[in-house]
Amino acid sequence: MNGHRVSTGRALSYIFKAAPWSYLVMALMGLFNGGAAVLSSLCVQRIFTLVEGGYTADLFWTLAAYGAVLLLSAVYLVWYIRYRVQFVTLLNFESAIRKKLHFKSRRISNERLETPDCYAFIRQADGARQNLFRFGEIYVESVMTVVQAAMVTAYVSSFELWFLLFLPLAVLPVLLEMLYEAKLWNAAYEGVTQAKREEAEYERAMTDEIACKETRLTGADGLLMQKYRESHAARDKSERSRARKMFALRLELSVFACAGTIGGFLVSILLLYFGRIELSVFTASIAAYSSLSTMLRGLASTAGNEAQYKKMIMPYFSYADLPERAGRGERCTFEESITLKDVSFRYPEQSEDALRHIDLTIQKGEVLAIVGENGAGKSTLAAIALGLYAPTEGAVLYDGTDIASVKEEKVHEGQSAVLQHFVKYKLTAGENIRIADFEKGGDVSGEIESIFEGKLSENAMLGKEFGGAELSGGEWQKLAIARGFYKDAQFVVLDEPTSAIDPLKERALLEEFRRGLRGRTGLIVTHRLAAVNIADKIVVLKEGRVLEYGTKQELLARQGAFYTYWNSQAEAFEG
Amino acid sequence: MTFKRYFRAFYLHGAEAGYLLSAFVCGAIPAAAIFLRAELIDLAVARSGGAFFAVLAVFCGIYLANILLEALSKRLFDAHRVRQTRKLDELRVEKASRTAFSVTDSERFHVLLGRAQKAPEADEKLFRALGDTVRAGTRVVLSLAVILFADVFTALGMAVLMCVGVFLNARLARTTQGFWANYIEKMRRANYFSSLLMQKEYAAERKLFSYDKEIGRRYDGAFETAKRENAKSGKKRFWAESLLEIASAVYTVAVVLLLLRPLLSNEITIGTFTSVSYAAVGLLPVTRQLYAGVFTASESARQLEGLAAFFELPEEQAKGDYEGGAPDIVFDNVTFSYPGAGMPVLEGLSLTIKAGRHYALVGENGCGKTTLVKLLLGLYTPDEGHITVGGQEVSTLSLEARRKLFAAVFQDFYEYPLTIRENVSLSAGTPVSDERIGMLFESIGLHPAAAEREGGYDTDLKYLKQGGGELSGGEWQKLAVGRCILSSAPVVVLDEPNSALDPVSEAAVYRAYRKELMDRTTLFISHRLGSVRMADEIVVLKDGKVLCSAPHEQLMAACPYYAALYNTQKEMYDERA
Repeated sequence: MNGHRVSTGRALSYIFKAAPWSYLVMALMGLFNGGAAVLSSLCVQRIFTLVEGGYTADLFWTLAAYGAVLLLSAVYLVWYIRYRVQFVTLLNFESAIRKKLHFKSRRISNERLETPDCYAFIRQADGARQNLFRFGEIYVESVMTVVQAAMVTAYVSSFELWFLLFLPLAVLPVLLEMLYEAKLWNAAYEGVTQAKREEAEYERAMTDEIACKETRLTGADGLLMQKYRESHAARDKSERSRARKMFALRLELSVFACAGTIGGFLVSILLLYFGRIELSVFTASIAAYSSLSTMLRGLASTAGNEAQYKKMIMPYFSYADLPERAGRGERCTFEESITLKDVSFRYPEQSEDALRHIDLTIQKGEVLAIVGENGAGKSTLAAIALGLYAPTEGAVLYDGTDIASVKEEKVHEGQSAVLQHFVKYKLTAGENIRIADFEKGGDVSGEIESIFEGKLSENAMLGKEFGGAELSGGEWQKLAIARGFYKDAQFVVLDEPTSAIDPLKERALLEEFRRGLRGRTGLIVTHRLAAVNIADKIVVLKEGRVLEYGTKQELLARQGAFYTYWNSQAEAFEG
Repeated sequence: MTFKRYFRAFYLHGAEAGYLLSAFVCGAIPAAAIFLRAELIDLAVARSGGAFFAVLAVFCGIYLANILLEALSKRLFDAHRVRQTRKLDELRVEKASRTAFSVTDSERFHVLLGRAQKAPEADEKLFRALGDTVRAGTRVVLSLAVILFADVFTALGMAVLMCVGVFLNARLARTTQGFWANYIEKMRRANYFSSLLMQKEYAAERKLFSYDKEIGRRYDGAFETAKRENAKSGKKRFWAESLLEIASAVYTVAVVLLLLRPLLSNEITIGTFTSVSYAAVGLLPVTRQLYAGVFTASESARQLEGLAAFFELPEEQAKGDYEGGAPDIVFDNVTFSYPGAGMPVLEGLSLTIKAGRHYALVGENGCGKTTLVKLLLGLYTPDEGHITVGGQEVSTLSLEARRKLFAAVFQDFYEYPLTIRENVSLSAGTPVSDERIGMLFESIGLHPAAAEREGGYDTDLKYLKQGGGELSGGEWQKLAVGRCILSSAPVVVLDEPNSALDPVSEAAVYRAYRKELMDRTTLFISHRLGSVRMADEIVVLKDGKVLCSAPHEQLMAACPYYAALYNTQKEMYDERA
């Protein structure tokens, strides 16, 4: 995922295609602005021709026209840039980009989405939406600014060819400083970002709600503070050196910068002195030069950030380029069995297989329990059986059809699950259950009543983020369980469904599962072995392999691994 | 901290004074240029050779000086920013770690901390705004003075129109205030739906329940609402800005008209006419900068004044030292409720924990187990009653003393972004040797892949650094347990330290506890009644009180509540079930 590079050309064509009209309007507005600048110089020139003649009607008309032209250039800045782009165009663009991200997230297989750093990664991709627009804008604006500058220069050069010097005088100093600054920024970027990340982590370890009590009692503050200072010092050093270099650069470029500021005036006054131009042309030209340098400075402030923007939009393209699921089949039935055929699985960018050569069949109507140590691959196996993860080798067959050949949404149609990391939806209590199948339109008042015992109604908003009620871990999990059983599914997976429930209440819940799974095919992942009582078959996993398989009685009789697990929990109660 | 104190504490240094001084000179130069430019034009029209080139040289000179001063002022700005950011960052983090625990547990602390984290940014804004204000203010005042010298009426007219401009600017700032915050607030709901549609933590359920369509519709709805709101704000701003633009156009034309009278009556030269009208146009954005500078400076200053509340938060006060070995711990009629919550969590609880014995604390969720631990560790102070350790009130013991006395593993332990060795040595005080870590890991069955890396036990965790590694949930929990074992504290508290462990690892960790913590006082909290059966004494909590307390066998006979809980759990493991 990291180190992904996309060419500027591809990035631009992608961006322009996302909003062709917006960028076309931008280009036209650029031309409009250049025209206004020329018109304004024209007015100034005419005013100075007329001014010596005293109060004439011509002069007043020209002044009125000058005022009107000033308002015309305000249309570009105030209406277009500050209103249209910022309040309408940009928003639409961002939303269009988001929809592309939503669509993409649907097409990527979960094992890729669930890699440890993917959270930050998607955030960066999502955070890049405005920058994508700005990146396109930089290029359109650059081209248009050059066109505008050429228009203005062409206008004044029509009086005197020496005015052709305007363009290099205005561009060069700005360009030099911009390029060097971008280079310095680029060189320092990685280090500064890393240091900031470290600082944030150390500070969190001293101030986070969970960390506080432990940090106080272990006295970790001292060590963390020391590391915080070290990271900060490293960042400061880099920033100081950048500031020093920038200062040296600015000193070196000062003559150029000076030329950029007053060069236009110098050329004009010398031409005036040597009698090459009239006073009116002189005034028009210094006005033209000042609007020219305003344009270019405006450009410099955005274009100087081209490299930064490019860096910031890269995560978006890395994400957009992640491989997608290939299956295109429309039909996926589950009438007889689910079979895992020689399935091996490895998480992206890991060096070892999480599952190795698994052969397993679940008959329709059967409940299978998966048990094993932490890290044995239990949840991975469940995700494979659901088709959420695509096996690295081997195949998952539903009624003999390889589900890799089917569209992912078709595979999930008849499935439901209560997952270990279930979601706490910040929706209403009822929607937290109905989200499993919005189209079903079933009644959930009974479930809500049994979870909240009248404390909360179906329409109560949940989660304090949006001003709703905050629930305990157990209540959230009960909602997740109700959600899992709400959808009419033939195949239900329960992955550690009782982890947040008081074990003193676990028993009643297991009864509920037994009822819920009646007539359905089930898969229960658990390390609390009591849950195997509601399963028909048990599979014991160890280091990604099937160690034992059979009914509980068979496995206990065999006195193998399952027997040991069972006793380690059961024997605590014996005697 | 008031702004005055803030200013005095941080701004009266060489760099800061130099920065403001150079801003002043940079503001004066364009004013001087008005005069020079007028002279130049007149000299050019008159073709007076020597004088023209002399003035031209001076003109170039002051602009070069201007550029050099700008560079210097940026340099001084950076110097201030880097130094000040560090100072504010360190002050904040130090303060946060001194703040009393009961305060850090509140929402208010996190709000104030969040504000304090923005302080460096606010300071940067303030400092920049101060420079801008000085520069723009100098330029406006001195330019008007120069123009006043040329023609009184023009200067007065300009001043009046500029005031109108400033007024309109102020109005604009008022109309547009809070636009962005408003939009962000409106977008929160849309952002939430958007995250449901793409974030990884929702991926599995999103696919299984295929709610894309419905949530996508809700995203569109929420986004459209936010967009409409935002466009409304935009239109308001557009009209306010349009007014300002009209005023600017009027001002520009008016200056020419005002200057026409003295020109035609030969009171001013054509050079002055040209230079002043040129300068007047340039002055307009400067009044805007002046206004923005004052506005931003006062805004940031107010933000910085908000720091006071953070730096005044109460700190850990107790200074008492603890001398002596393993103590008896006594809870005497303790009542406690969390700040702001009505119902007491503990109500008249009394309990004696004898030195060197092993206790288990059991009860249903919400009965006050974890609260009892927090009180014991002195993280909170009881509302009524006393908790004494070896006769000394816990709340009078210093943090240092409590660190020596207690070690604890919490239910929600923290995963420190440190190396494996640092993580495991935290409670021990000094870094532990490879050998000791190896032995410990063997006994608790911890064999992290991260330790196989080049750095060995010095590998950084949480993927924070290059070459770093990470542990699984179960491994982190074992590491937290290991940390406790390595401490030399006489009292060890284990609050549900096994929730992420499978039965086999759990059994291994129990064996390690028993062996390593044999001669210390332990307080073990667990939901799993089978695992606490061996404790010397089992304390059953119910509704914030001790219901009964005795070894397992006695409780089974004497405490029906305990017996019922125990049997329910036991039956689940009964083979005949």
